Amino acid sequence: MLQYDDSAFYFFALSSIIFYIVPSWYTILKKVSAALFSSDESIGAISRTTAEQKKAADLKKNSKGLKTLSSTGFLVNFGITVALTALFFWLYLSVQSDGEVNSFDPFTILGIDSGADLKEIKKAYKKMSLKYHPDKNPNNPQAEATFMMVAKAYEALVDPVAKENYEKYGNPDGKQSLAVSIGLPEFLLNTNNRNVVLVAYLIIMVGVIPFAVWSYYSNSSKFGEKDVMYDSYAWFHHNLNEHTLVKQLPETLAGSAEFRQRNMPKTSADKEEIAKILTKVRGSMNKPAYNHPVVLKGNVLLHAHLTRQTSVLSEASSDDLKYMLRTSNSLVDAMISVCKHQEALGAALNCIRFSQLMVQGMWLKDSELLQLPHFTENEVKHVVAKNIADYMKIPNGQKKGLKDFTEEQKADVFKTCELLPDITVESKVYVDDDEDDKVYEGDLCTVHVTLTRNNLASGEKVGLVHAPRFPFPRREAWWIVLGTKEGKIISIDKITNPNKVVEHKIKFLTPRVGTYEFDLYVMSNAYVGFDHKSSVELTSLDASTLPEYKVHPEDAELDDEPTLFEEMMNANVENDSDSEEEEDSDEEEEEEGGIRELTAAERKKIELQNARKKAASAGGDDSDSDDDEVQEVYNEEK
Amino acid sequence: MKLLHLIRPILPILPEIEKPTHKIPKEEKALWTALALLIYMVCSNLPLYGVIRTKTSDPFYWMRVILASNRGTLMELGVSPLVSTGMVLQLLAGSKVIEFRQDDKEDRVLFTAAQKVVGLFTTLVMSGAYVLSGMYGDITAIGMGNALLIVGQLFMSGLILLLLDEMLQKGYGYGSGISLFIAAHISETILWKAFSPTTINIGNGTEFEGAVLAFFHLMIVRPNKILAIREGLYRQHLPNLTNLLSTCLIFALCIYMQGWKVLLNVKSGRMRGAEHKYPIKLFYTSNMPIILQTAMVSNLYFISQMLYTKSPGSIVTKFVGTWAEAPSNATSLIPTGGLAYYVSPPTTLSAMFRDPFHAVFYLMFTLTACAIFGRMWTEVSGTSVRDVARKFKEQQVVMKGHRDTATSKVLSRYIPIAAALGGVCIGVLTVLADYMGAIGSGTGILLTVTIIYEFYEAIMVENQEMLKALGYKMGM
Repeated sequence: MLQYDDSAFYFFALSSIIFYIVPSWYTILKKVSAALFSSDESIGAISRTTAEQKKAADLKKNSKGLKTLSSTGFLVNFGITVALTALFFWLYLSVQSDGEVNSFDPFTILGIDSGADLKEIKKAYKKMSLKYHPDKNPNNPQAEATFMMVAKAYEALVDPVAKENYEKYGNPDGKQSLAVSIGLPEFLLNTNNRNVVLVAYLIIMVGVIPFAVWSYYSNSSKFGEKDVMYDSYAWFHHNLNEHTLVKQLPETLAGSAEFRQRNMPKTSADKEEIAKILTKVRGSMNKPAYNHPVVLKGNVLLHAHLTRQTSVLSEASSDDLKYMLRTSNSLVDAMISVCKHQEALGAALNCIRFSQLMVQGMWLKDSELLQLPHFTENEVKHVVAKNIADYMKIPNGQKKGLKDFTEEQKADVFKTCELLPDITVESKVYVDDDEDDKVYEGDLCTVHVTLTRNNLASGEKVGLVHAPRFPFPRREAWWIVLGTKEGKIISIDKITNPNKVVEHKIKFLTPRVGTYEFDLYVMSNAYVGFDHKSSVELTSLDASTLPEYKVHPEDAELDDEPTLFEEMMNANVENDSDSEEEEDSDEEEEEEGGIRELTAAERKKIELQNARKKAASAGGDDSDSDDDEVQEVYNEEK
Repeated sequence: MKLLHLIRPILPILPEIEKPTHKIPKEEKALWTALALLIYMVCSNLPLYGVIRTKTSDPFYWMRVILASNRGTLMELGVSPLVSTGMVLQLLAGSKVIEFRQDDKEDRVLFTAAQKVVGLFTTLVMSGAYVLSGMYGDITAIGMGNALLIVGQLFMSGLILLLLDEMLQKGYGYGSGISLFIAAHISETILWKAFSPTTINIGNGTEFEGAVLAFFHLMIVRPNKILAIREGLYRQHLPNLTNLLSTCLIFALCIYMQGWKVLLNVKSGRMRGAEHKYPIKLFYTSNMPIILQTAMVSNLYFISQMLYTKSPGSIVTKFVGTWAEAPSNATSLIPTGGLAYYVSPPTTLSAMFRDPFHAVFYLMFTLTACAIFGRMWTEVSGTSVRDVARKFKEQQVVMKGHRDTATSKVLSRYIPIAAALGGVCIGVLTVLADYMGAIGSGTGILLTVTIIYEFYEAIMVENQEMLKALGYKMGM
């Protein structure tokens, strides 16, 4: 029967605690140092213009300082770690004096350094044995035990047999009976505690573990791709179709499953506030399709943000809005993937436009120029160029609408114009093939899109988006969309590469013979008015003129060669292979017969192929000889 | 009339797992995999009922690690019936004794059914043989009823293992059950050797079995800290920290070498412009060479031990191998002479210097065997040049830039070399692990790493497919 050993359990507990507290202290210290000393850039709190100052200050307030550490998870972990550390030191101190586990070390017993020579050993032994001799210490069992140990230790160092035993088994008396125990507390085996222990086992095995698995599973099974809930996907599927307009999208976003708990108005004051804001934003709002209070609240809050009326919001509503904006990134991505699934090009483009408007805090009828800091309707009136892309290009001295601005505000406008994107898009269509890059029917053709950011120096990376009204840092990304004229999506991808020149390949199956025109859209995820649209022309040629796939004669022969095992069992296989060959030749004859009965059209096709093959081989002579050379080199190496 | 068709009448009564009707989400897959693992773990710790414990030597000691078996428990047989039948049937199919076409649906169903039937039959025969051989006590002592009970227990647990494996393979979980159990078994061994709370006292004070625990214990208890560190690192009779560190080193090395591969550019002859990369890994045959090598050596041990117990004095026995009790563990025998001695790894570094011929012979033998088995396995498993070229031909895939060279010619530049060299590399890693005293034996670690790496790849591929289906590209 295996014994449980309390003192061994202390060591086991000690070591286990080390494995928890060391990484735990590390993460705690890392979090604290991040809260106190992290740079502004790492949390995205940079203010390049005065308009961004408030956003940067808010971000700093929310993600720096000890206040950010007051989450329940962190505090619980901190408490556990401190308690365990205290336990660790208590255990450490209590086991250090635990003699039971101390081992037999003759040098320590004799009170000399390890590796001492024979003379010292003898001297120490004499001294110790005199001191602890039973005759000198009558009725002292402690001294008697020590005397025995000293004698044993001396023997282990001097007597050759005992010495060998000590070195081999760690004991001068030779091999001892093996005592095995397990480092678990003894009370687990105590018969009095049996019921308690059993009940505890039962609760943990039948109750706690299944419940933990179930709760984890039921929670994680709610979330699909990109950590968006399945219910949200279902809601988007229900609401998005090819007729979806931008003005309907705030309501669609507001109905996401993620907000259902948080955006439920709880008190009558909440409801009153929403009604109050509703009157302010009603003019720019689409007629609501749903009456549900959650959808209405989200919709109203989003409109308050889009029409730049967030100052009327209470603190609680403002927090709710921030939460919505924070999750909006992945939710809009999910909406776009739903659009892709439904092949609704218009809806996907509208989703992208909606995300642009949301980042800049603008709404449909607003001028693009409102993206510039300090600009209001008043300034917009004075500007002739209504496109922001055109306005950017006007030399700084000649920019209109700045006459009421201070020098600092003007500098902000100029700075923003430098940050705004200026991209050129090039595209070409081809087939990735080493012989012929013309596109034939049924090929997998490639649309190669090159996006160049002209406002960056080469080697420079694009920074965060200038969006003073969006309360979180946003990375610049571009959506590259290829769609047909009929409004079907061929490909839609989000490009997050921050480099100056970004390449993107779209691959799709070439349609039937004919000339096609596709639309290529390149749209920002954050700036309004920088969308690129160009058309991509594709001529699909007749594939029947292509040489057909043919098996290389050597590959064809391969099947007739014997396998390793057949070679090994040569005698057995010979008969079999004969019959196989006969079968094979029969099949071949049949095939030949089949070819003779070709229709005229197919014969023509074969002729065309032959003609093409000749042309190809005439042009491809060089490559052939190259191949041969490679082959020869390889043979030489062999 | 094919040999396989004999299975047909048994088909309806065979237990079978139904294919999942819909795609299983990845959380659910993880859950099923964990569940299968839990069942295996419980089985491998549940002692057999009706057994009289005897202290006979364990002839399968060397095989246990790669067969995920645990002595005296329900997992006494481990995955050995399944692995051996799988290998034998594949060999038969590869050598065309059984006619079997991969592309024929009925053939595939019959082949898996045959695997199951033969697997169950082997389980029954093996458990019967174990009981009759007196492994669980003399047959008269345990009685007929108990003997039947033991066979029944072993058979049922074999059946459970088979069904678990089938469940995971049919898409409810990741990878194959067999490899999962092997990896779990070895990982368990390594974890136990590192953190075991068991204490042992052979007269010089209590010591922990687990290397890490022992290190902490020594650091606290011993007054001389330098000596304590030295003992924690190098103690001989129990696992030490050096063993653990060398295990980690071998792990890292294996994972690093898993990534070595040649990528061949191939394109579709059917659809122009569709191209991808066909990888030929250095570990082309994965861990198969070392499994076959271990199986061969184990069988040699088995025969040699039998000979030694029957007639210790004869010349044949002396040539095949003589045995003696291991100094540390009285229940296991170790080879001391003959062929069995020379094909077994040197037990310690000092033993290596005492008999350098043994070390060199072992090295040469293992490497050669691994290289040959690597080459052979490509033929058996349908990954030889001919098979890959045929697959390419069927799918009309051609090499890019090799319009006028035969596909087989390009492939034969890589595949045979990768197979043989990969086998040698696997062999080198195993030998290295054994010399360094890595926990769980070189073979075991290698198996675990390759298995875990395959799992990792399977999960990554699945995640990427999911992303692709939604139209997202990873990063850019």
